[in-house]
Amino acid sequence: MPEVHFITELRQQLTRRGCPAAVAKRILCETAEHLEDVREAARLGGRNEADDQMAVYFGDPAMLAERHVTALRHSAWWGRHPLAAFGLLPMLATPVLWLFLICAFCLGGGWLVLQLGYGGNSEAMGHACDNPVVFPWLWLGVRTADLAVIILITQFFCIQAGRTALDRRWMLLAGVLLALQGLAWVAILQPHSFSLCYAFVSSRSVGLLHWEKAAGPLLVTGLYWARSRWADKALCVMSDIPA
Amino acid sequence: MTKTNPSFLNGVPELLVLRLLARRAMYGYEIVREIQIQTKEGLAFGEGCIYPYLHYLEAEKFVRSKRREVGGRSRTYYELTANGERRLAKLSQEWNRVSTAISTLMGGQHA
Repeated sequence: MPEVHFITELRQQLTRRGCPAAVAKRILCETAEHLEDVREAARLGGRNEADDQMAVYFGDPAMLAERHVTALRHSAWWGRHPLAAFGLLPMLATPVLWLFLICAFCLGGGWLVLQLGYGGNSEAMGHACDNPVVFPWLWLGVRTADLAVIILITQFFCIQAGRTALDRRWMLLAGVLLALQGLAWVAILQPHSFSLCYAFVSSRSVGLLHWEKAAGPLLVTGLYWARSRWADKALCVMSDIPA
Repeated sequence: MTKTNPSFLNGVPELLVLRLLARRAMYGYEIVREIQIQTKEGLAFGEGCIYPYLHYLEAEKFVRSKRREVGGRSRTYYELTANGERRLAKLSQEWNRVSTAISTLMGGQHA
C-alpha cells in the first residue's frame, strides 16, 4: 500500500471509529513522520524502500486505528465503563449537582444574611424572602438553575463521550435519559418552601419549563453530534497533515 | 509475599519505554530502533504499537511530549516526568523480583 494511501486509509479508519479530531490529527502526524524516518533510514542504508513496503512496518491501517482507539478508550474510566457512565450516571448527576448548588446557596445566602444585618432573626429573613420584589427574583433564579443544571450535565456527558472516542450512540443515550429526567425532575419554590423531587406529571400538567428541560438536553446532544460529524469531515480535508 | 503479578507481562513494553526515556528524550521511531539495538534484535517493538503506548503513558502523566525541531525535522519528543520516574522504579523492582524468581526456578531445573 503506498504511503499516501496508508495515511489516507488510517485517517478514514480513525474517523470511522469516532477518534476525536485533535487526537487523530496527532496520530496521523506522528505516523507520517515515522514513515519518513523509515524511508530516510532505508536511503542512508543504501536500500530503496518502495512506498508499498511502508505498510509492512505498521501493519493494517484498520488494526492500527483500532489499537489507537482502544488505547484511548481504556485510558479513561468513561471509556472502560460506558454503560455505567452514560446509562446510569446521568440519572444521578442532576440530584448531586443540585445538592452542591444548595450547599453553595446556603453558604452564599448565610453570608448575605449576615451582611444585610438579619443575624439569627429567621422571621425577618422569611419576610424578606417573601417580599414581592425579592421573591420573583428568587423564583427566576431557581428556574434558571433548574434548566442550567440539566444543560450543563448534558454538555459534560457529550464532552466525555467525544474525548474517549466512544460511539456517538452513548452520547445520545445520555442525552435521551437526561431529556426524560428533565420532564420528571422538578424544583419548586413557593413562599417558605423549596422542594426538589421526581414528579411523574400527566400530559396536561406538563408546563413550559418541563418541555424546555426535555428539549435542552436533546438540543445540546444534537449540537455535539453535528459538531463531531463536522470535525470528522474537516479532518478528511485537513491540509496540514502530511499525506 | 505478593499474590499475583498483574504487570509482569503487560508491563514489559512500558518498562522498556520508560527505561529508555529515563536516559534522554526520544521520539517514536528512535524508541523502536533503540529497543532493537539495545536488545541486539532480541526484542522488536511493533512500529504501530509504540504510539498508542506513548499516548497512554502521556495520559497517565508518566511522560510528556514536546514538539522539537532537530536537523530541520520537526518531531514529537517524549520525556519522563517525576511520576514516570516513580513508575519506572516500581516496575524495575517488580521486574527484578520476577526475573530473579524465574532464574532461580530455571537454575533449579537445570541443576
